[in-house]
Amino acid sequence: MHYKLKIVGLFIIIIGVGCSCSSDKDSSTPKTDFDVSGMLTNIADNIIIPRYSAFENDIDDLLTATNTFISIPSSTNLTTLRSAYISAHTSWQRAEIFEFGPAADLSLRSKFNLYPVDTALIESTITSSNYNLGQATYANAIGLNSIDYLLFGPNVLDSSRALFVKDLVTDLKTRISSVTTSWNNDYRSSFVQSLGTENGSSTSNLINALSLYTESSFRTGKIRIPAGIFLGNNVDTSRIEGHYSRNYSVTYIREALSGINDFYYGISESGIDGLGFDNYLQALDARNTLTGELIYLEINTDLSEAITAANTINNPYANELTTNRDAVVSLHDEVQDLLILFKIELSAAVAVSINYQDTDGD
Amino acid sequence: MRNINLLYLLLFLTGQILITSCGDDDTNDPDPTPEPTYTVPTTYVFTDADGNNTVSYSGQTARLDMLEEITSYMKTGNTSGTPLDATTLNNMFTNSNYTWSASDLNSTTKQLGDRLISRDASKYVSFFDSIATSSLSADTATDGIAGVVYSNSGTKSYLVSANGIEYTQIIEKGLMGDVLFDQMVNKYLTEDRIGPAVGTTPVDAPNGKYYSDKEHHFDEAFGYFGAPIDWPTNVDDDRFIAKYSHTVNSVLATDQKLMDAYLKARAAISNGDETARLEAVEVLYEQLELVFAGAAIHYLNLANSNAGDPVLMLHELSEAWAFMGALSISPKAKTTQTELDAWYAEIGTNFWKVVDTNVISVRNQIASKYGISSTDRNAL
Repeated sequence: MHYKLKIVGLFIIIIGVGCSCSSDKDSSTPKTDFDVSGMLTNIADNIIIPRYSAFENDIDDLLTATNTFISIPSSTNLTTLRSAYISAHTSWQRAEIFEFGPAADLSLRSKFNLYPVDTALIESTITSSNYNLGQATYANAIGLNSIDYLLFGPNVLDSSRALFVKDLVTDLKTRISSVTTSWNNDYRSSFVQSLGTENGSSTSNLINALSLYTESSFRTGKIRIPAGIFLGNNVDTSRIEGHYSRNYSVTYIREALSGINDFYYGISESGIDGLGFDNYLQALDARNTLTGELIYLEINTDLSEAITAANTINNPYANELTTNRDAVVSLHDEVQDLLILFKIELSAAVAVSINYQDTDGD
Repeated sequence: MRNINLLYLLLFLTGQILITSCGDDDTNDPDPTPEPTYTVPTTYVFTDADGNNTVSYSGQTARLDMLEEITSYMKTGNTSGTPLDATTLNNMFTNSNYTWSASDLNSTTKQLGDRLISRDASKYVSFFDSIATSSLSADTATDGIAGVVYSNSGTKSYLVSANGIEYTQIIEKGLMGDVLFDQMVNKYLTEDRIGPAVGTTPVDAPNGKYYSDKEHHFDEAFGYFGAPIDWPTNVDDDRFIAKYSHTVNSVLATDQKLMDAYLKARAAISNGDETARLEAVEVLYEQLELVFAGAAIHYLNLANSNAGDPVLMLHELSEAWAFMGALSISPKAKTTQTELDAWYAEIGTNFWKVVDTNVISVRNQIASKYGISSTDRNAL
C-alpha cells in the first residue's frame, strides 16, 4: 500500500521536473517590490547620459583648443590645450564604466584609454602619409594616453604633431557623439524598459560593467600593473595612466572611484541621491553568503574605506609607487574586497550571471 | 521486489511521455493530428522491439576525433620555433601515412578530406601550406610579417599569417562547417537519405546491424553534431557544433531545441511518423545554422571588444570568419553566397587592417539576417 503512495508522489515530482524544460531563458528576477524601472531611469537620465555628455563637452573644448593651437601655436594656447586634455581625461573616468550597448559597439574603453601607448608607432604614424586610426594596427597609438604623450612627452608639439593630435581628438569625438546620440534616442528607451536580469538585460549589463570595470580597468590597470602587485612587486611607472603628464594619475584614480561610488548609490551628477543598487540590495534584504551580513552595508563600508585609502596617495603617482607603495597596496586590497562584493554577492543577490570572463578554451 | 520494479518502470515511462509534451506547442491546433503512439526518449538511446541497440555513428566519431588531433597539432605552432608540416596535415586530412595518437583511429579508413560537398577540399590544402609557411617564421608577427604573436598580457600566443589570419581557426572551424555541418544539411538530413523511399528494415541483423538505412543515416547526422547521448544535461563532453551551441545557448536557447529535434526525428523515423520527422528536421536546419550565426556574432563581439589587444582581435576575427563560412552552405541557408562574400569584403583579408566599425556593421547584418534582436546580439 505504501508503495502506491510513493509512486503517486514520484509521479508528481516527475511532472514538476518535466514542466521546467519549457523555459528558454533564465529570467528569474528576484521577488521584491523594488522599483527596478525607477532605478534604471535614474541611472540612465541622471548618471550615464550626463556623464557621456560631460565628456563630449570636454572633447568639444579639446577640439577647439587643438584648432586654436594649430592656428596660433603660442605657449598660452598650449597651456589651454593641455588643460582641456586633462579635463577630458578626468571626465572620462566617470564615463568609462558603462561599456555595453553603444559604448561596446564603438569599443570606447580600448579606443580611448589604452596604456602604455606605443610611442614608436605614434612617431611612425605621424610621419606616414596615410593611416586609418580605426584599424587594429593603430590600437596602441590612439586615445587619451597618446594625446598625453604628444602634449607632455619629450618632443615639441610642432604642426605635424598638432595635426595628429587633432586626428586623435576627432576620433574621440566621432565615437563619443555616436554613443551620446544613441543614448539620447532609441537606446535609452530600450534600456529603461529592460526589467529582467537575463544576459543582455539592463541590470545584467550594469552589474557586469561595474564588476569588469572595477576588476580590469581599475584594480588591474590603475593599480596592480603599475604597482607590480602579483608581478614580483616590480613597480613599473611606464605603465601608469597619464604617464607623461605625471601630475594627474592619482586624480584619475580618485575620480574613477568616485564614479563607481556614485553609480552604485544612484547619485546623480548634480549630487542628488536617487535609486541605485544600494537601494535594490536593501529591498532584497540580501545577505552575504559567507558572513551573513547585509550586503549593502558591507559595500557601503568597503566603498568608504577604498575612498579613504585613495585619499592617502598623492600626485605624482610615480613617486608614490616608490616612496609610499604600502598605501597603494592598501588601496588595492580595499578594491579587491569591493570587487568580490560586486562580482559575487551583488550579482547573486540580483540574480545576474557574470558573463565577461574569457570562456574561450582556444 | 516486484513493486520496486514497477516503480522504476513507471518512472521510466512518465519521464518519456512528459518529454514529448515539452516540444513544440501545438495544443491550439484546430485540427489536431492523432498523438503518436510511440515515445520519444530523453537521451539518444534507441532500441528495436527486442531491445537491440540500433544507434551507430562510429565513422562520425572517428572524424571528430581526427579533427581534434589535427587541431591539437596545429596549436603546437602557437609556440614560436615549432614548424608545422603541410604534408603531415594533408596526411591527417586524408588519413594516409599518418599514425594517430588516438590509436583506435589507425584502424579506420574514414577521413575528413573526401567529405566536402559544398566547398572545394583543395582550399584546405592551400590553408595547410599557409600555416606551414607561417610556422617557419622566427619573427614576432606584425602587419606584413607572419609568425607567433602574443596578447598584451603575454598569456596567449597564436600563430598568424602575414595578414594576421590564424589558420588554425580557419581550418578547425572551417571544417566544422565544410564537413560536419555540410554532411548533415546536404546529405544525411536530406530526403535522399532519410525520406520515404529509404529502407526501414534492419540492414543486417545477424551481424549486429539492427538499424535500418534510414535510422543509420540519421544517426550519422547526429554523430556529426558532437553531442554526448545525454546532452544538454551533460555538457562536459560536447564538442564542435554542440559545444558552440552551448556557447550561444544562454542567449539563443539552441541546446534543448536541437536535442529535442534530434530525438523527435529519430523516434519518428523508427516509427514511420513522416510528419513529425519533417517538423523536427526543419528545426535542425534552422537551429544548426543559427548556432553558426550566433558563434560568428559572438566572436565579432569579442574581436570588437578586444580592439585594444590586436592579437586577441586577430584570433577572434579568425574564428568569426570561419564560422561565417557555414552560413551559405545549407540548401535552406538564410544567407546567400553573394551576401557572405560582401560581408567578407567588408572585413577585408588583412586582419591587421580591419576597421572596428566594419566589424560591427557585419555583425549587425548577420544578426538582422537571423532575426536576432539587438539585445541578444549584444549579449552574444
